[in-house]
Amino acid sequence: MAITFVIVSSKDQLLFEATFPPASQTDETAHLREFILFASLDLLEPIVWSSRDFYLKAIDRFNDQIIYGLVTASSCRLLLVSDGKNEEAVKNFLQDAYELYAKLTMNPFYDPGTPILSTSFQERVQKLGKKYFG
Amino acid sequence: MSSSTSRSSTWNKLGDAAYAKSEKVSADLVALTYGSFVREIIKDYEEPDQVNKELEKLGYNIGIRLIEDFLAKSGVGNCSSFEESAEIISRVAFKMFLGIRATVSNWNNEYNSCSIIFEENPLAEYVELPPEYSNALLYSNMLCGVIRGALEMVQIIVECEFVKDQLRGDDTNEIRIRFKEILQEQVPWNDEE
Amino acid sequence: MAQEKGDALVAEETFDFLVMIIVDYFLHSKEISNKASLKEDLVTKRKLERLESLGRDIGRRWLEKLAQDTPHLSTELDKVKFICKEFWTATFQKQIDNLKTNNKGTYVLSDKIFKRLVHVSETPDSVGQIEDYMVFPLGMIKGALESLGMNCDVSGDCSNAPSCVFTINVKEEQKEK
Repeated sequence: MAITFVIVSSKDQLLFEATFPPASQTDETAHLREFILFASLDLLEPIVWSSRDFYLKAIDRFNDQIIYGLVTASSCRLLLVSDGKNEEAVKNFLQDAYELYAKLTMNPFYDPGTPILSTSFQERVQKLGKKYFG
Repeated sequence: MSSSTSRSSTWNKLGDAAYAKSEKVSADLVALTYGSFVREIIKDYEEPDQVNKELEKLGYNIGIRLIEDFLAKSGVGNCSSFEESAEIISRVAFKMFLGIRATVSNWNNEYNSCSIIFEENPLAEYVELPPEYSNALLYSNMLCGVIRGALEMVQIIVECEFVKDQLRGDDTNEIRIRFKEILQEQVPWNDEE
Repeated sequence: MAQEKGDALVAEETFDFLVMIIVDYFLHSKEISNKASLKEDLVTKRKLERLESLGRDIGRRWLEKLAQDTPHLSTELDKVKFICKEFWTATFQKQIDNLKTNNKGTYVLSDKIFKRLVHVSETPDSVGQIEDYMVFPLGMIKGALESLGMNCDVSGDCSNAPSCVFTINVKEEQKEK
């Protein structure tokens, strides 16, 4: 079962999206997963307020799909939807992806809050996906 | 040869000492500030050649001010020759201001041009150049200006050029310095610049 | 690959010289104002506003990097404390000496030796007025607070430089209920 990962800005704009394994053009379920992720954004706020950690664990569920989230210091949201069989890997993945994102914001040629087009960022995220989700 | 080696190690020590005693800030903060400033200059000048020129000029303005601070804090005394100055820049000044040590190499036969080579460039950490600039922009060109300006204040006139840049895919970073002339004692003069 | 260089340090002079030339570039350079005539739309925004917004942009990015390893900051006071301690230390090399609040969205931060003004106030030939050198750090502080979701005004009094007093006023609609 594929895993979808998205980065959403503090203003609810989609900045980045990746699927593991990399999505084929015909993968219909990718859109469904994206929809599920966006639907869960509203649930995030109250959880953020009550949590001391950036990583928020499972925040929502849709049939057999579980949504995990991480909110950065500047309220950027890193979300991931999977079948929930690899919780530890999800946590590590999101934390490493957060690190990559923080480094990206240090690149003066990337404007935070705008879609991430950097191919090297894409490659790094794919590498992370491979590392944690096989 | 042995005397030049021992002098090198003296300079290395001076560099380490100057670095150790200065108060420090995060290299990341400097990298971020430098990069965001470069972005602003690009907004103003657009053409990479113009941006490079402006960066060099701004660096020059830093260099002419920084030299006094450098001589006062580093204890290198006055740099008397071009050859010596190149070593001092790479072993003392790079260490003191950027926390890295550079090496001097590629001397030409006439001994009036050499390269300062450094593997790590703290200014360029995290930077990924957009494709439209990746060939033409000399991102760290300010360093060239700093060197030129600082040397000019000790009467050594040089030209500097960034010839290798890891941001552009080169294996290392290299600044070529060409010696022009030594200014003779000057009568104090009210001159701009 | 030269990774994990996050802890590398450079001499504070490097930062101060860089900021000095940035202030010079935006506020004093003659050629910039000549050049400005070529690009009308940039004329008005140049100078103070651009210097401040550059500071804000840097503050926003810097905050994201700095706050990575700290627990999530949920209350307004937590956020201001983070600015006074971690942010101030990483940016201005020491903590704020004193923090006061009226509990109604106003915070007063005193720094007895504001590091970014030490060199400027000691160097008679530095370019420009000491107030000019406040614009950029004030922008940084504002940007960092914005990054934490706090929309506020930040002002600074440096009449006793290098001792400085900063005032943060959280804008009405942002105050905690």
